[in-house]
Amino acid sequence: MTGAALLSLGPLALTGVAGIAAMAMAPVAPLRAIRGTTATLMAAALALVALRAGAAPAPAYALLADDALARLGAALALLAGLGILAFVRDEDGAREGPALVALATSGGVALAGATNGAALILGLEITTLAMVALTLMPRSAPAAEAGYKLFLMGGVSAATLLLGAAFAFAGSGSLALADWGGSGGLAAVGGALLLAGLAFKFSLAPFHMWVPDLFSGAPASASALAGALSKVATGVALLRLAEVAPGGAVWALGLGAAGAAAALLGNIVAIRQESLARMLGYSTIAHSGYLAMILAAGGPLAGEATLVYLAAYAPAVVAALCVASALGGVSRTELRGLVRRQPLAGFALGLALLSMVGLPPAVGFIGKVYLFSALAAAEAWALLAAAAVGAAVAFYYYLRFGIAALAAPEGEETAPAPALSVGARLTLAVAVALIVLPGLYPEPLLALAGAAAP
Amino acid sequence: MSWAIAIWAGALALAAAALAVTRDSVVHALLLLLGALVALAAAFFALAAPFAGAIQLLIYAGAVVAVFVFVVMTVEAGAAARARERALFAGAWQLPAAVAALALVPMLLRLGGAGAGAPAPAGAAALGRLMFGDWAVVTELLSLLLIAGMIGVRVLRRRQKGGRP
Repeated sequence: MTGAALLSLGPLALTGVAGIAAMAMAPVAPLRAIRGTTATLMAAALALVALRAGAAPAPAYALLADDALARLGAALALLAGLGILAFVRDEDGAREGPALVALATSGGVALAGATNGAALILGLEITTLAMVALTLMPRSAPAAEAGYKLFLMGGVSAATLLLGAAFAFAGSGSLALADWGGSGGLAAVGGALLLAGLAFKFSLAPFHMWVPDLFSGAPASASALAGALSKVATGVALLRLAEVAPGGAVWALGLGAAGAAAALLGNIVAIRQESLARMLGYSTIAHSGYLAMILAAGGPLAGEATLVYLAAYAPAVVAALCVASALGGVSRTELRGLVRRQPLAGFALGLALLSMVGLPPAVGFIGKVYLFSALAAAEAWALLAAAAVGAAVAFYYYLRFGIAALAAPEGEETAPAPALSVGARLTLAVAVALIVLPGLYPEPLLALAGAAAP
Repeated sequence: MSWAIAIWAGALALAAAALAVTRDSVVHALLLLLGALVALAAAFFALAAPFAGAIQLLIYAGAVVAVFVFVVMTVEAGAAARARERALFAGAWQLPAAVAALALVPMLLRLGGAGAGAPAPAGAAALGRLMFGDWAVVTELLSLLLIAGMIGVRVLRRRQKGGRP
């Protein structure tokens, strides 16, 4: 292996080392020190990704790609991981949280570059297992329910994925994702099983049941792993798979149907939610649905649109969950006057919700424009209609929460101002920048996504 | 001569396996399982398949049993838990037994027939080259997966004990 090839593995190695270091420090060091060490190592990994942005891809390493798509995916996963690190808590003195976030991030980085079935499944499972452990850390009953649901359904989905990979291998004689596009019975069964397994990880209907429980019962950091990190990494993996469409028609049809169902169901059920966390849970199902529809429709814009949408959604969900974490399980009425009590939190939450709706000047607007343009360019009118209905419904509940956060408090001040740590402030500030700047000046983001799209 | 050793080792493995699945204590079952796996490795060695024997020792008697030991260490295995599980899985042995019986049928049918010809030899060198060459990163990813699982077990254990670790 040459030096260039080793350097291309640097981000993954640094993130893995961050996880191991955080695990070793967990029993002895205070949370601040663990978090600082983990963040430093992960920031170094992010810097390495950024420094290599223009570098030629390293001589192809068999199982992990080093192309622009892998780098963009890794950068997004690391950014999400760093943001989540800011609101990881210790639970009853247990301080494994940062280790789990770093491990999940390493899974995400691997997933972004996975060009082989083995790397794909390992990346997905590392992320899922870390998410399960993080969910189970608080000793509350809702956390237990969310954790066991995720664990059991995650196990079923892992088995489904493995069986799908086995069928795809039997059909093609290769574990490389690029070879999985063949036709025939084995490839079709393999494609269907792979799709079912990935739909669970990507929280598409009807495999979404674990998501609302996770968002309402688990620590916000675990929800953010599912909503931002795992979504970005799985989205990139789906993009690579969509290039070959394992199983042919089965793949596109299934992905489109699951995506449309998720977009409609997520948005419609989200209307009835009064808790911020549960609303975000159902809305993340809807956003997965939009992404799946872009991937299913294909067409000239699909790759670019997927990446722009992911880059627009990830900072919004991290910011919203960071605020939710600072507030505790908060309902819509309790949000009133947040911007007075804690201007940064209220402003960031309002902006994040604005970005999820898709209104300018937030970057979510660019994401929605790309969503509709990609579906129209692919002439997928049914999917376009489903996306439009979903997005229209979403206006209602996002704005309800957004207005509550920005509105003046009713009567006297009741709730105390939530305390924001330095890390949380930094996360919110970076997230606001990542929402507003590309919203006002999208060219760099579009250039990155255009270069990375396969 | 060596085939006689193979038959003895195989019989020993069978006996140890039969004892393992009928033991009450999970620790005894584990030790018997270890015995069965080592006896199987001995059978491989006697049948002039040292590579398969070494893999059997490393992966099954080594890694797999280590995982079982780890599970036994971290879960509650008192008399009360044993009674509860016995009630829970009263008839559960029937399914694995049926699967094992089904798997035996094709093997017995082929007993008298000729072998299908030797498969391509998979040498230790080839495997090593894969594991420390192209697949090295995947092997490392596997270790990260195990670490995530291990932390998960610690978290679960802490929930069960209801106290600090």
